[in-house]
Amino acid sequence: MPLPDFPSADQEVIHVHHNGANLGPFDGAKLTAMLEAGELSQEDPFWYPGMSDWIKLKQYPQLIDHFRAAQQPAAPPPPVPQSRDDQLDAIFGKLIDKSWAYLDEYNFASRIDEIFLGAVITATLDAGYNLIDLTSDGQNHYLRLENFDDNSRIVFRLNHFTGDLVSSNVIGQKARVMIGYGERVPNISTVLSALKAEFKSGLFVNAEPGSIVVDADVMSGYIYCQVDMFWSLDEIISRNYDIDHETLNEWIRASTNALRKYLRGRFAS
Amino acid sequence: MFGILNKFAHKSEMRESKDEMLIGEVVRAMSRQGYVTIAFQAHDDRQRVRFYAPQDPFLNSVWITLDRKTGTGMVSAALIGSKATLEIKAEIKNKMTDPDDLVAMFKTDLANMFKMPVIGGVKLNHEMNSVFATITKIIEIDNYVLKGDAGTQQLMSIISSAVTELSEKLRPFKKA
Repeated sequence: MPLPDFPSADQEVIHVHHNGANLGPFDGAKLTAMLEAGELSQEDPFWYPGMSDWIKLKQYPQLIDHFRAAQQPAAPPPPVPQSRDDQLDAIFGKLIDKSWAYLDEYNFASRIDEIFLGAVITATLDAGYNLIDLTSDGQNHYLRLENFDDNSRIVFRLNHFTGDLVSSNVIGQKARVMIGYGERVPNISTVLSALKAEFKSGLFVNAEPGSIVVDADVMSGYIYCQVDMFWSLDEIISRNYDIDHETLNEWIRASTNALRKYLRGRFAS
Repeated sequence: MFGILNKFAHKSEMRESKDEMLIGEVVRAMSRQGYVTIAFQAHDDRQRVRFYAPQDPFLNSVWITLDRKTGTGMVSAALIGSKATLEIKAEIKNKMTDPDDLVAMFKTDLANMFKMPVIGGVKLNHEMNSVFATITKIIEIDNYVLKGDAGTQQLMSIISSAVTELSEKLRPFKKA
């Protein structure tokens, strides 16, 4: 979620939710001091006027960086160039430095989907699954995973559609995600029943969030239930590349749990 | 009959998926070492993942490419196993701003352009702001997949020692 302009360091406008209580409003200096003293946590949500919702501090490290920068003494002036040639080299150097800063921003915006995909692989492997299929063209990514103990499968498709700086700064980092849960069924009649459901699912040109569609694979005997959603990648990946594995695990667990219940309820044999 | 068909299809699928299983374990193990994935190039028998090291002041990124050569079919898997090449490429970046440095780098770029990679040896390559070091190893995928943590640790020990070796080769080229 993009934030409104940060308050200046002396504005007492920042509210923090800590241990079940709303604290503040604080100015920037007080907020950074309390964080450094351990009186507040990076896990605490914050809010200031203009924000539409509370967000964890750790998701926007730029806010604290902004206040810390305001507390720093001003940098000493650069040395005076000794010649016209040195002067031009210094200007050229600054132009290149600024370009690197822009490129870093651009790279982060365009690579966040790959960072997210890696985090999904890690989360699902930690949950006992093995990666058995991976395809990617840079923007559309597809994973299939199987748990060899219970033969259940997870499929995950991600289509990143805010890979440029302008759209990601305006609406945040968004991706269309399809997550699916599959089980191997022991009899052909269940697979045929799922095939009928798959035919009906095919009538949805664009599945809306929450619509669960069915996919069946006769050869491997798997039935999958799948749901489309829009996920905010920047709720999981912060600008300094920190990954909120705990929240991502919960998202995947909640989605697969709902799909498992649907699959077993609908195709109970 | 349905069950037999399914089992056959499943076994065949698992045989073909061993390289993906290995890449999945590499992604998880690299994540535990502080790397994040920033690029995937995945084809049938060739997986390439680029890892970025946000907290590393020296290395910029590490590329790991797994190119499976044998073992996707039942016969070749039984006869010669699942052989693959594992290419590890480390990258350092020098954010050069001095025109004199750019001129010097241009000369080394040309000098490295036609060097060929050698199995087991380290190849260095300059490309403007980046310097790469690459090493290629031949591995047997079956030694590392479905072996639990022991298999992953064994593979990561190969990758970690390769990254250390490549870093040493790159160290003289890193500008302060």
